[in-house]
Amino acid sequence: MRDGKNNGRNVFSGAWARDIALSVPSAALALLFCAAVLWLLDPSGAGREIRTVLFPFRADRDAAARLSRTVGILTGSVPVVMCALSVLFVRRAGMLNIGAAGQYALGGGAALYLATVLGMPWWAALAASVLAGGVWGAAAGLLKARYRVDAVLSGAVMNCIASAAVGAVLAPAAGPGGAVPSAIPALRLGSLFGQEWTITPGIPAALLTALGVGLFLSRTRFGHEIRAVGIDGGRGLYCGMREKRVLVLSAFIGGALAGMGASMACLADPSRMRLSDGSALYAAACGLTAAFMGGQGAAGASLAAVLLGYISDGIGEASRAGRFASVPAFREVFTVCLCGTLLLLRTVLSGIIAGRRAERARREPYRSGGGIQKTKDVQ
Amino acid sequence: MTDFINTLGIMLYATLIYTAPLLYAALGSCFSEVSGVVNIGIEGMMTAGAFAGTVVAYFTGSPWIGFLCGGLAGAFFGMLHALATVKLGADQTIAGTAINMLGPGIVIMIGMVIFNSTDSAPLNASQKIPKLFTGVFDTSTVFGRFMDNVFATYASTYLVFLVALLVWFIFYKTRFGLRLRACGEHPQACETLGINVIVMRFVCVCISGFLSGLGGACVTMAISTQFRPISIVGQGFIAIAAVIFGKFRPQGALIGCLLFGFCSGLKVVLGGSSGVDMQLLSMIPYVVTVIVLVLFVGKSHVPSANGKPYIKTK
Repeated sequence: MRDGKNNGRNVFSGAWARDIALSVPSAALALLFCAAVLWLLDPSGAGREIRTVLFPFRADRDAAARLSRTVGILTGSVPVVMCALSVLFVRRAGMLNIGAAGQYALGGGAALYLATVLGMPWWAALAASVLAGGVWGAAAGLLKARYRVDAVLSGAVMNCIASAAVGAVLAPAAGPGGAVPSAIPALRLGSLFGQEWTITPGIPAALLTALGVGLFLSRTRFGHEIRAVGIDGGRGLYCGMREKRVLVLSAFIGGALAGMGASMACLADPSRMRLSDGSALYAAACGLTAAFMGGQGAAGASLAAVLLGYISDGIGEASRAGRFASVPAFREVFTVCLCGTLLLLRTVLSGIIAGRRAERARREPYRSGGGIQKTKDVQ
Repeated sequence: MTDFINTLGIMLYATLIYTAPLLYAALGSCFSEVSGVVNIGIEGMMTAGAFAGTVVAYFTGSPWIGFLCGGLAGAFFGMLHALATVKLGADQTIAGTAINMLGPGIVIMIGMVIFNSTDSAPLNASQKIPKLFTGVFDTSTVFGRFMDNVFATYASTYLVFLVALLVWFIFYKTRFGLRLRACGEHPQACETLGINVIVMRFVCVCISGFLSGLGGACVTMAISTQFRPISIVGQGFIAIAAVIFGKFRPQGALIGCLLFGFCSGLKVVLGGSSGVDMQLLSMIPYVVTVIVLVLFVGKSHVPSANGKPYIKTK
């Protein structure tokens, strides 16, 4: 509000409203597209499968089963939330963290190597995964900052290197024998609906990390520098910010978040300590989509990640009951496909709006009562 | 000496067959990048082409129809990318990334319906792209064996060098090529001359998708015998790196692809003869790609309007 007028602005013209306005129709259209694909793949059972994808809780008969599914969805969403936060963090510095898959794979690989091969405690494995992911992320940041290598290109190639490296290190080490690996201890919630409940500490850890990332980016000096460099590195330079340092450090933190997400998933259950081929790709693809769906904030990205986890759980449930029960990785493939559609629609809608804005700005080169306007964050 | 010549022949053979898919994709990338559209989605288009080529060849029994359909599948995703970025003004990098997720996702799901598995059925010898010059050289002599090792290769490998020549001719000797390059350098000036920049870029991205699709089909129909989700892993990005190495020129991209093809061939030859872990050897092309990017990114002349969405003046 200026001079008693709101200059055409209202509470619904904020960045969050724009993000919701872009993400909700994109998500709806993407779900519609995937429903059509399901119908094409399996015309007879498509109706039931689509209902299961949208409302997975329908199959649960009692409150205990619903609570169990909720815990399962949240547990499955932890690596996606961490990857979303990783992509968001790096994106605020002006880079697209395509390399999250590699950072996730390397983090998970390091954690598994320490926990299963060297028999080290879970906290050491967790620290190693954070460090491995961070260093791999920082390498991509360094390539961008020092040599101006496109972060997308270097990230994609580094994903291939990380995947091969993890395979080379972990494959010979895999096999029976050795000590029982140390898993992250589960949190006991107590008795409810006549049974004892435990959750993985990944859930509160992801929540706290989201809160921390949000506060860090919005309330700290370095967070301000990251956002400033993301908007315009050149201008940041004239304000005394060291662009290269900011890029490398933000890439390190982003990589560390992805690596931490991997260890949260790998070290949660001692009986399932492995890193499957598609898990890194799945977590990174969902994380990337969630980071764009959720807009500029950590809360939005985390909520979008949980939403994707919910849909993915529904897809898994539908595939178990449908004709794809025998097909491995159907849930992951279908979710990645959904993410691709969503991301494409989101960026198309964003492009259309940006084009209209540019056209409007060109028609109105001078607007009265302007004054200094706050620079909008990059989309 | 005989062993050395044999190994050299196998090395050259491996270099040529691994260069072919990269070169198809790199030539496609040249079309897109030079016209001013960043096409990160090459990888997804290659995957679509790899799948479509294999499936069509499997059901029709004709490798050439399969090869063409591989190109058309890539062109379909190219059209999707062009629609999003050129027509609707979407962010080119993010749209390309989305194509990289969408392309493999869709084709793997179609594969699940057809084959009830993520892998396709293997092609037999008559369904694969035929080899040329087999039995032409006398393999009883060292020189004949060397020639047979090097030149008795797939028709798609010979075809790609002809395509490279054709692309060079289109770029530098035709009116279309001149307009294409102008669209990537100064689209506003093109518009002043009456060139429809939107149509030019749209066509170029579709051609890019078509050539990438051919590259993908080349992988599954010549190098291997079936489509698997890991058939295309990073080749699209390596092709883009080859274009950067070649300073956005088809002849430069050819040299870049030969370099990366050599690295991929090295992986195969060393994998067979040395005791080094195959996973570690598979890193060679990617590590070389990173080195090439570091050394050559700053020295490339990027088309001035590359990556910038063009809004037509009203």
